[in-house]
Amino acid sequence: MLVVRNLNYKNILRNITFKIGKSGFVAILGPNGSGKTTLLKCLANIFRDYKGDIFILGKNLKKINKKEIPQLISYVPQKSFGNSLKVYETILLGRLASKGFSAITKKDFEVIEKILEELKIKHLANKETKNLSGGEFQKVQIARALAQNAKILLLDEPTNNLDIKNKILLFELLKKLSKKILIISVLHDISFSLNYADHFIFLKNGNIVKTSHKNFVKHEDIAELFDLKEIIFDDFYENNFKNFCNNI
Amino acid sequence: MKLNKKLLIIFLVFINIFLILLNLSIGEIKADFFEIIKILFSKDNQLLKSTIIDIRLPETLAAALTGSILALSGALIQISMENPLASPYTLGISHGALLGVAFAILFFGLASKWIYFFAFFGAFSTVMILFLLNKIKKLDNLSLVLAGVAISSLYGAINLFLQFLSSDLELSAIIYWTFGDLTKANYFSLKILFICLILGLIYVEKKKYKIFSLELGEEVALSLGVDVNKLKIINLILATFLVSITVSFFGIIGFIGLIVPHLTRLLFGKEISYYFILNILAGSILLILADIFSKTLLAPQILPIGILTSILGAPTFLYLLLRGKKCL
Repeated sequence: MLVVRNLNYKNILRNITFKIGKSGFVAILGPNGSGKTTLLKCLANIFRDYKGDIFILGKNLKKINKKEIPQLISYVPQKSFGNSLKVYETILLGRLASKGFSAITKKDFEVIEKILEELKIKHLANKETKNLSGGEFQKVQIARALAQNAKILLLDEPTNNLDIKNKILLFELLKKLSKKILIISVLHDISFSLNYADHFIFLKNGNIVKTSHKNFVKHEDIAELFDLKEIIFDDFYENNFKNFCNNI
Repeated sequence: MKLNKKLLIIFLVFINIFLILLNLSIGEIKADFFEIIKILFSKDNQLLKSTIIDIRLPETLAAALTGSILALSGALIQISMENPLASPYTLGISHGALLGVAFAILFFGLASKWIYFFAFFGAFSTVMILFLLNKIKKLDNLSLVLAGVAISSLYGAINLFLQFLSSDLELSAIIYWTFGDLTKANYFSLKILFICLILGLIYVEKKKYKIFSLELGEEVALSLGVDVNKLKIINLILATFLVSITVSFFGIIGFIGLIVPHLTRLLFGKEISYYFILNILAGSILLILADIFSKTLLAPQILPIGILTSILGAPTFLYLLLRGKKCL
């Protein structure tokens, strides 16, 4: 599905090579400045002057027809600002940016309706995005990315502006989606990622230091990644997640 | 929601028609609103009829078309530069076109067809300078406008130098061009403007989703498969071309391209499907109104319309400046 071979970007990424299957939830972890966001931007067609190859479904990203890109990848940036567009139009753009004239179909509206409900932002549909709170806007960005119906969803610290309830809602949704599509997310919240992600990519100084399935992640690895002597997780989250989720 | 916007468009079209007819009734030879309609469809009163058809109608239609075109280019420039303060006038694009016109008048004579080409080259040179500056160092909204001001004054100075070199006849022509003035309108210029407006409209309608994806930020637009740089350059070339056409016919009519997109957004919202068409209709209304005022304020004197739009536009610009980021 996604094959990255000898990816180099300026001096930030060095010889990144990995391979991921059709679905699943992949977390990219690493200290600040390790190249996580850069890696994501290369995968999202934002940085195109990288060396090496990125293959999606066997097609080289650099050679894919531009119109096909939004159906293959969708991207949610780390920082973004609202504007005068309304929420439903912002989401609509996810489906239509690559199309000409008035190409809106009934299906577009159905898809958007469903996503608005799923993310519980239906009441915001007619608001201008500049009037939303940080968390609300983050959800709109995610909704826009989901509306693309892409094979790969790339997220850069998606839970940044979200409160605990919305964080859990989002992770639950991502978990559900990851059964069908591939989700790759830069995450800072290690406890959350340990609870939800299936695979891990550990990035440090532009190199992949380890890739691992969730069952084989050791706390020592994470401590080493962040240059810490040891890292201890109590089971607060783990025990409380279930309760939280049941209560939502 | 949808129906409302369609009704709004029909309503604005009617306002346009009403204002055009009203504008036709204003001038030395008086005629009231209904007389105008009667005269247009009858054979009586040939003098008034020919005054209306040969003088007033071209001028009014020129106001409508120029207003539409400037508003469309302003909207396109604001979205492409992601800058609410950007417009043909504030960025110095109009001044570039004017300098081109002055060059053409000085070197090729008054009736030369080179005026149109030079207007475009002059306008385009401003855009290229701004684009390069922006590549070298990413300019924020205010710096970009300041750069536009710097280019405007440089071009203004060169323009003065050219005036210094020119003969009396050329001098008066160049100065005439510096105030925007619609009385130069004739059916040839109207045809060209109409074709340009239609071509511009077809382009923005075809690309509207791509153009609006720029509103989501450059990175998201790239991830949506939009070739951001190419799209921005084509948008700017088109807007520059449209502005330079109006300048080469009528001179600088400032601030319409700045005010109308903001008015449209404030009054009607920014809906992808209707934004550009609403801009066109509102631009037309605003410039016809300005034309009516320019004829009535100091009647029987006719004020050049460019002076009037600047008087309206400058305070609006200051207001936008004070509101800062919020006016995005």
